[in-house]
Amino acid sequence: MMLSFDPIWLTLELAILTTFVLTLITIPISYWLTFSSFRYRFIIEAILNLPLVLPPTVLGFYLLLVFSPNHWFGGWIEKLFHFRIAFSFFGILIGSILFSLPFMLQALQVGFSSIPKTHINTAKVLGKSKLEILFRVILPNCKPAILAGMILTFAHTIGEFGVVLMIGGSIPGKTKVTSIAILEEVEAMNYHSAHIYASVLIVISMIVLLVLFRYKRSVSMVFAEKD
Amino acid sequence: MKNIKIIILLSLLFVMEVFAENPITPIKNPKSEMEIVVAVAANFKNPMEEIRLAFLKLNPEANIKLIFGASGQLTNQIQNGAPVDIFLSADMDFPLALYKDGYGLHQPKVYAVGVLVLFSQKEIDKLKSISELLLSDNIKFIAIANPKTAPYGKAAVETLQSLGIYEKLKHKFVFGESITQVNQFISTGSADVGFSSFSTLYGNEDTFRYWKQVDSTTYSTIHQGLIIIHTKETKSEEEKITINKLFDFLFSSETKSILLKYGYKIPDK
Repeated sequence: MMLSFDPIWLTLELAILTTFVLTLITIPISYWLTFSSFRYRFIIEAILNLPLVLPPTVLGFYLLLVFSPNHWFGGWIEKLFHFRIAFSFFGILIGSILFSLPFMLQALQVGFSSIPKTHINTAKVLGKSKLEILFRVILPNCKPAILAGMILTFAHTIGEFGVVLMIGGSIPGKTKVTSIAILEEVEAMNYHSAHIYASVLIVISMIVLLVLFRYKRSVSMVFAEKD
Repeated sequence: MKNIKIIILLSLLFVMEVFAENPITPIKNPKSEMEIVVAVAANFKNPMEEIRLAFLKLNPEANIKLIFGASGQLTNQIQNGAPVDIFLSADMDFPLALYKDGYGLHQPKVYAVGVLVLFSQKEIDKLKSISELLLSDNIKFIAIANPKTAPYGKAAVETLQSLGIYEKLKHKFVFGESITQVNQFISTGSADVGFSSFSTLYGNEDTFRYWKQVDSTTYSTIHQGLIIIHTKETKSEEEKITINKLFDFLFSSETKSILLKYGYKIPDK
């Protein structure tokens, strides 16, 4: 029996890209959510945190519906780019970005709101713009929170299963990630291969956690506030 | 901090369990008195529910619980001590494997013969051959159940191989974990066509408007086998009688008419 390393590379690729994209888009979102005085902000917060409580298969199923050429969105994409999002790496990337968003968001918001108001006010008084405050004051002070968010997102995506199962279609080298490969090997009663895939996942997760704990003094604050 | 410690502890426990030499000891399920559990392959869900009702009409005192899943998954659960009395697989391989491992009371028996069908949300020209249809450019994705675990997936691969188009179509395949997921891929329209069981059609004519039966000579017959599981718990006489009654009922003329209605073929002999 041949054991392919494709699923493992794919999992790592997915986890790295998800973490990268989420870091980029979650910083402005958290910034706005933390410092805006918009009255109905809580609604946005609730929506963005929905994947935290929603079963991943539900999210996956609706994404599958939206990505299909029968739906206006999927149909429009297909017409414009001759590309179907379902069953593509891009599709499972969108799925895991949506699914892991709350994890990054939680970590960042805790970090952002822990910055003393006086720091921000001082910067304002000195005439700094909002962007300058973000890059010069907030982000440098939030490094542990950002790191914690990235690690959580990465670890979470490695274990991601339901969303990918629903919209991926288990295409080798394209959407068949390790968790799906494990399911298939177990169902085919190839327990040996399943063990190998599983142990690779365990080792990777362990390394990620080790990094987390190496910096635990600064990161633990983020976790402590989450409790 | 507490959370993290718990997470590590749990993952350690998980690792220990995964790498333990012996499989996990069977879970003792506290059963209510007289409960027959039947594990059923996903493709046989609807007919089995009807068979159950028909059986209960004749034996109102029986308590029959159905659980559904992919055949491979159910086999796996049975091997790990799931309290199942009868297992209706989608093929013969899984019941045979269980029998060889000593989980069965007797050799598995064929209860139904499955029929493979090509489904689509798009209008398909019934006059065109399957090769012509699948090779055409407007078919981008073909959904197939995982051939390693799902008999209908295996049959679909055989058909494509015997038509000599398997290699040419490879880049169009998407794999569902079971027939249920293939149906999902087709019904949402994400996959243009897919191979599924004929029985899917019954009651879903609106969803699967376009279909074409696959020439049954292009794939080896889908023998769906059942096996009575030799459970660890001791059975009462009453339960044994009910299990045997249900077994006989699965080969009765009443079951046969349900099978035909759902598009299965009756096994020979």
